This record gives sequence, structure tokens and C-alpha cells, in this order.
Amino acid sequence: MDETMVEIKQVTKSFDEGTAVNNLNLTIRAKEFITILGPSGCGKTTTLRMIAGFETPTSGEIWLSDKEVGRLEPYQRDVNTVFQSYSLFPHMTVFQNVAFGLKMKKMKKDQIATKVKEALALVQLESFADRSPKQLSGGQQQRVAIARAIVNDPKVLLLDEPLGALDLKLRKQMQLELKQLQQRLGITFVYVTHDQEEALTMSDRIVVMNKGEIEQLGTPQEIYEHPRTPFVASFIGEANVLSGSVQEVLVDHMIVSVGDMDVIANHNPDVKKGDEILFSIRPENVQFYESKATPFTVSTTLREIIYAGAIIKFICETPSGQRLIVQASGDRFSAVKEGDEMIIGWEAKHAIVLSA
Amino acid sequence: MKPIRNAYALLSPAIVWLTLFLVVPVALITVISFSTDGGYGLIIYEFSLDAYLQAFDPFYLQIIWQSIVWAFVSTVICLLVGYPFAYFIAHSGKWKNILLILVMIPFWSNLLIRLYAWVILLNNEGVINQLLLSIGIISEPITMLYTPFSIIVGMVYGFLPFMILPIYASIEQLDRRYLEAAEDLGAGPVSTFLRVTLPITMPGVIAGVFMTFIPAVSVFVITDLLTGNRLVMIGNVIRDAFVVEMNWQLGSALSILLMALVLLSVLIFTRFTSSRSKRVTR
Amino acid sequence: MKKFAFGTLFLGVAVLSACGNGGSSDSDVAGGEQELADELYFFNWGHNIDEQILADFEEEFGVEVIYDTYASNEEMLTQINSGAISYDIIIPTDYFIDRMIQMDLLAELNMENIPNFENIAEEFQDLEFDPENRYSVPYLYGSTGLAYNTEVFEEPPTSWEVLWDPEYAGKVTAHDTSRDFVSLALQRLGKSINDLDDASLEEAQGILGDLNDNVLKYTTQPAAELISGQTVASLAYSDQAGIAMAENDAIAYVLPEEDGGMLWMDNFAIPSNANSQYTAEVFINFMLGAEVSKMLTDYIPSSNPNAAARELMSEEELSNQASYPEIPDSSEYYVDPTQDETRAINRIWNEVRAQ
Repeated sequence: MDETMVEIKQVTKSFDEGTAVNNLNLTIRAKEFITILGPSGCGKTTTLRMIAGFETPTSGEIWLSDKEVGRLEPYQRDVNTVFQSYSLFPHMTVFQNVAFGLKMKKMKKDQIATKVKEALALVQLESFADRSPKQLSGGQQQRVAIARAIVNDPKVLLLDEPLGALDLKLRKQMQLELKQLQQRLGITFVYVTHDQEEALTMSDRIVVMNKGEIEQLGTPQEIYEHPRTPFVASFIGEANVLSGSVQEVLVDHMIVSVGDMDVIANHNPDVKKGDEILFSIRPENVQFYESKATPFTVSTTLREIIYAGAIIKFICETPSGQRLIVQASGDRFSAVKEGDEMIIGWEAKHAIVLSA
Repeated sequence: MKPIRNAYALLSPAIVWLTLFLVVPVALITVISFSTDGGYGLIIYEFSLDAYLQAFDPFYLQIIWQSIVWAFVSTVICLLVGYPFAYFIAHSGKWKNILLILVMIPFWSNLLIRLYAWVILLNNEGVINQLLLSIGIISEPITMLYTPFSIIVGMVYGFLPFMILPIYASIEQLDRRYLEAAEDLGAGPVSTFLRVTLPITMPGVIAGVFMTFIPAVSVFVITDLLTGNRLVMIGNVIRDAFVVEMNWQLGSALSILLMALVLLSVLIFTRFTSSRSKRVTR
Repeated sequence: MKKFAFGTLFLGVAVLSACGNGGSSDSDVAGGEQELADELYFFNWGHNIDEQILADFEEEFGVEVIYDTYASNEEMLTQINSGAISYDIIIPTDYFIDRMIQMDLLAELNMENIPNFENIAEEFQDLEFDPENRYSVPYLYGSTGLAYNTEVFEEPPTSWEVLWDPEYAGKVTAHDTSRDFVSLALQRLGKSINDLDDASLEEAQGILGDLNDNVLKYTTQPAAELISGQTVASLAYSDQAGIAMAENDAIAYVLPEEDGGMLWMDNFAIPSNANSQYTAEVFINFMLGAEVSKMLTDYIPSSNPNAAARELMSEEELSNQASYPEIPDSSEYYVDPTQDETRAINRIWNEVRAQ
């Protein structure tokens, strides 16, 4: 399970316009579903294209299994790609599209037919073999693109924002299907997306990239619950990022002063008294209190109520002008209105210290 | 109802243009071809098949066939030269516009003048022979002018832009991601070209082939000049029927016959090349 | 009235058949005092006149000359047939005079208005294509003979045979006109260029294949290759020969003594639908004046049939072998072939080359 499939060693990729990927080190394990997540221009697609072979690293090495492939052509690599635009060949039938890679491998005709049928069955498109790609819906085209890639039994399947062009409902459904497919096939999936929810749903591990570098690597839970940097904290879900100075370090928590109020935060071994720190609290971890009796609560003024169906978001402002988002569910707070005084607070374990 | 009328309004300049310069002349030629010869270009408007009886002469058919062969050979060479050229232009980045202008520059001057330039180049005393002689590659001038070689040079030169431009347009529109997809699936440069680039740019190739072949079949200016009037093309026969024999009926009938044959070959060609895509849309 | 009738190509046909005889007698009857028109429509070959002459005429007679040009007799005929413009003067070549007379397209001339006709040398009067000059008056003439390189041929060739000689393969040229092409063979066979019966043509075709194998190219402008020495003998119009001779002293021109060569004559004629026949006749008379006629050949490299004009020429001008070669007895003018004959000639021309 811990066998290494792809290893990116000190890879830098520079274009005329600047550096897209800067000294990247990443180890991808066999059979894992890893997602490279980040905003556009963060270098995630460039990284994927370097693994595929469409781009050559300016420096550094890319290893696939036990072979350095950084300078090989795409057709010399044992990886396949599902493209964002599907890129199905318009002059071929669905069958011919899926058979293309096998034909290139000079596989026998009857064997090709069998494998193509299997692959189409995997994506539930057996009956569409003779259609032209133009006659398929976006979702169907995407499935053909997946079948066309997996039919080759690649060591690694690269997916470049494959669901980006689909509508929300279809996207959700395809997320599940892709995850199931990956588990069934046992192939390493490297998935690139800018959609943090998609990343959290599908991945074994997530690589968060920003400005050509890795911000954090970890399981979805680690990434979400313990963001290491302000960027990760705010890019994955919503977060209230506060800055303050450490007043006191206790066994399981710390006391931090933010402006003129004292609040608590999770213990962090690297932090000592007097340090200026950043920490984040997810909106759903902020709670309303009946009174100021509870220690380390803060009195705020409600500035805005945002209704979002199952949940409601409240924007609360501290006396010093700091705004925090509080998320709550149900109709417990149906009576409150803008301008009301709200007491807020959180458990220490939910206030995560970030590295600046 | 209204949108349709608007569409016609928008199309009307094109319709007028087509009517004036295509429908009317072809209709006139058709009418003349079935009229009675009044002698020396005079037309008697009585139905007659005489012109067609004259036109369906094995000799004329032989010349038409010969013209088709020359046009075919030139078209094939134009394709073999033009496709890589168009491909190169489409991939030449910032040089693209300059190269395109270079392709089109010849249109700025008269074909006849440009062909005289070739006469000067290919002559025994011409630039090419003088150059080869002076650097000692050859000891006697190579006869190039007034040979099949010069016919091909002239026709390819004259029609190459008509091949390059439509192919260029189709390569330019080719989505690079198809090529990446092919490479990704294990296709090397040759397979990618043969199985993806070429089939997807086929509409440009077909357009180029017709834009080259159709004028090449009826050409006579190029062949007259570069063969010293030694080659007889159907274009010569039609011209002579009009201006020397002053037999407009025969000239018209031969024109119609040639048009029909070209149309037929276009039909056969498109059937042939679209048979593959037919399968896709089954 | 006539102008209107010829206004369209289609009506032209009707008029032709309707007034088949004597559509040209109006001015003869009128006689007496006639007035010049304001304008004269003159349709001539391209590069065939010193336009100063037209300016002089305009000044002297106060008639504006509207001058258009054509590149072939056939083009001119098409224009006349179409009737788009009614020309007063046209310059058809010999055999075309014949054709247009037969098509009733020419007006009979009133020679009383053209007293200068007597300036035309006797040998150029009363030629076979227009006996008694009822419809035409000579303008300029020339010949079609052999231009050759004297370094190769010490003696002037006496026959077209040199064009067939394998020794000069690829070094000779002939005209790219079917009639001249076939005529070479006819004359070589000792026949008249106007012997166009099937047997004669078949015989001619029999020897033209060999000629075709021998020629470098077909052109009516052989001067450049003659001058450069690439060719040694060419069928050439006299004026083309003149150009080559001016550039290269080694080039000479001859009408081959045995075979004869061809003569051609461009002629003034008045279309039967002319606006003003009288003005046209005055113009022709003006053109036939000795001085004016000399001006013409000072400018154009053709030969002058005007004896009075020739008297004004220098010895040197008259000894120019291109303009005034010796004319063998066997030299001939073309007579208009029938349409079937034209087609047969054209077919030979195409068949020989297509072999």
C-alpha cells in the first residue's frame, strides 16, 4: 500500500512569463486518489502536464515507478489523461476513440474489441459504441474520455479538472462514480481541481498548491481541520483568521489576546508566550452563548444575516472592528436581527494555529 | 415569416452576386450550346444538338482526359507540397502572418507576368542554368523550359496558394488538445499525424483539392507559356472554338461538358472521402 | 434607323437575313453636297497607328476621332456583330474582308470621295479578296516568311524545309496560329495555302507531325530566341523579323523562293452600319495622302503599299529586307476559309500537337 508510484523531485518549471512550479517535491503512492488543489495559476495543471509529459521540467526529476521519465515524450509514458475538454476525436466513433490507445499498442483486433467493451461497460456506455462523440451529452462524453484512458491499464490516471464543464448535479454524481471506479480498478488517480469540495469528497490525500509551491499535503480531514497556513485555511471552506499575541501557554490550550479581548486557542508545541500568531476557526465551530458568564467569550454586534438554506450565517463584529462568520443551523435564532448584541466563543481545539 | 425575410435581405448581396456572375453566364452558355449556329458567332435561337454532336468527339474527349490527368498530377503535387507548407505556417508562431502574406503576394501581380518570370528562370540561358553552370554542377544547360517539368512547375506555382490557404485554415482551427490526447494514448508523431491531424483537417484538404483541380482542368495560359503552345488542353480547344473558329455553340457545349465532368468528379471525390465520416454518423 | 436595327446582337441576325442585298447604297444615291459628321468612330488593331495622325485629322477637318483597338479580327467581328458601337472605320485583314463582304457587313465605297486611292501601288490594287476594291482600300501590308541566322545558313533558305530539318531540332519555331501552321505544310507540298479540300489537308497533316517534333515552341513573337541564338530559323511576321534584325546583325529575313510564303494586307473598310460613310471616306482619303501614309510606316514596322509614300522614303528604308523583301511569284494572300475548313485546320493543329 505504501509503494511509491510517482515521485517528483525538486521540480521547477519556468515559462517566459514566470515560474509556474517552484522546487516541488511530491511522493504519490500506488493506488491512492490524490488531488492537487489550488486556485487557477497555482501550478497544479503544469504539475499534471509534467507528469503526463506535455511539459518538460526546467529542472528536477520525475520518477514513475522506478523509472525517471521527466524528459520522455507523452507516448513513451505509462500514464493516461482525462482532459478537461474531453478531447474526444471528432472523426471517430466512441468505439474507435476508446480503441485508439490499444491500437497504438498493436493489440489484436478481437482483444481490442473485448477490452473496449469492458471499458465501456465500466462507464455504462456499451450501447453507445457506434455513436459519434457529437451525438453524446457532456456527461456521456466525459465517460467516454474516462473509458478511453482506463482501457489502457495505465499505472497512473491523470485527470485535469474532468468535471469542470458539467452541471452541479451531474458533477456530484460523477464524483461518486469516479471514486468507485478508482477503488474498483486500483489505479493511482492524480486529480487536478480548483473545487475544494470535490477534493474533500473524493481524495485519499490532497495537495494544496499556491504560487507554484505546496502549501499543505494531507488527508481531507487534516487539511480541513488542521490547515497549516492562512491560505489553506481560507481556501478550503470558510475560516475566520485572527491574529493576536500569546498571553499564556497551558497544557492543552493557550490564551491569546486579539485586540482588547482574550480568547483561547489550541495548544501548539512550537508556540511560546509572547509570540504573535495567526489562528483560524471554522464558522461552524463558533457558538453563540446566552451570557458573558462563560470565560473567553466575546461580545459582538450582529451586522448581517445570510440565509443559506439548511444553515444560516451571521456576520458579527467585535468592538475593535474584527468581523467573524458564525454558522448555525435551525430556527433557534429566527428572532435575532441586525444590530443585536451576540456573545460568541469557541472551544480551544477548534482554534488552529497557522504558520505565517 | 419575418425572420426568414430578414435572412434573405442579409443574403441578397450574395444572391445578386451569384446570379450576376455565376447563374447568368452559365445559363447563357447553356442556352447558346443548344442553339443553332448562324455562322461566325451568330446565334439562331432554334433548338439544336449539333454542338453536342461535335463536342462528343473522341478527340475532344481524349483532350479532356489528358487535361484531367495533368490537372490531377498538379493537384497531387500541390497537395504534397502545400500540406506541409500550410502545417509549417500554422506552427510558425509570430512568423505566421508574414508567411501568409508571402503566400498571397503573388496575387498582387498578373499571372502572365509571373509566368514570364518562370520562362526567364527556366530558360537554357536562364538564371537557374547559369547558376548551376557557374558553380560547375553541370557542364551543359539542362533543358527545363517547354518540357513536362515546366508544365508541372507552372501549374504548381500558379495553384499552390489555392491549396495552401484552405488547408492552413483547417490546421489553424485544429484543436491542439486532440494532438495531446493522441500522444497521451501512445501515438508517436507519425501516428498522430496520420490518424488525427490529417483526418480532422480533411475538409481543408478537400477544399484545397477542388480549388486547385477545377481551375487546373481548364487552364491554358500557364501551359501555353511554359510549353511554348506545344500542349493542347481542353481550355485551348474551348478558347479556339470561341475566338478562332467563332463557333460559340461548340465552345459552349464543350464548356458545359467540361463543367459536367468536373462536377461529376467532385461528387465522386466527396463520396469517396466522406465515406469514413458517414460510418461515424450512422 | 440602321443604327437602331443593329443595336443588339439578336436583332443583328434578323436584319442580316431581312436586308441581305444592298444595305450600303444610301450614300451613293445621296451624292452631291455632303456634310462631315462631328465624330468618327475608328476601330483599329492595337499598336497600329501614330496617334499624331489622328490629331492632325481632327485639326484639319474638325471631326473628333474616337479611337478603339482590338487584338484579333475575330474580336473585331464579335464587336461589330454585337452592334454596341457603330464604327465608321475598321481595319480587317485580307481574308476577313472576304468574310465580311459575304456577311454583308461592309459598305460599298464611293471612290469619288477617295481620289488618293491612285496612290496605292498597282500591285496592291484589285486583290483576290476584294476584286476592284469595291469594299476596301489597302492600309498596310506585310509578309510571313522565314527569319534565320546567317551564321548557320550562308545562303537564304529557299523552302520551309529547314524547319523540318532534324539537324535543327529544338532550334526552330513556328506560329501558334493554326492557319499558318497548316500553310507551312501546304506550301511545302507545292500546294496553295488556299487549297483546303480534305485530301490536301490530310496530306498536310501527314508531314506536320515531323514539324511538331522539330519545333522548340509555337509563337508569333520569335524575336527574343532568334536574337539570343537559341533558335536558328523561325516562321516570322515581317515586323518581328525586323525587330530581330535590328538587334542582331546575323539575322536575316526571306520569303522562301520555292514555297512562297504568305502575304497579308490590312485594309480600310466601312461597316454597313456606319454612322457617316462620307466622313469615313474623307478620312480614308486623308490617310492615303503621301505624307500621312509615310508617317504611318515611320511609326509602324509594317510595309507601305502607298507608292506616293514610298517615293518619299530613303534608299535605306526601301532596302530593308524585313519591310520590302523580294516577293516570289508563289507568295499568296489568304482567302477566307469556310467555317468547316477553319474547324478542320484547327483540328489538325490540335491533333498534331496532342499526339
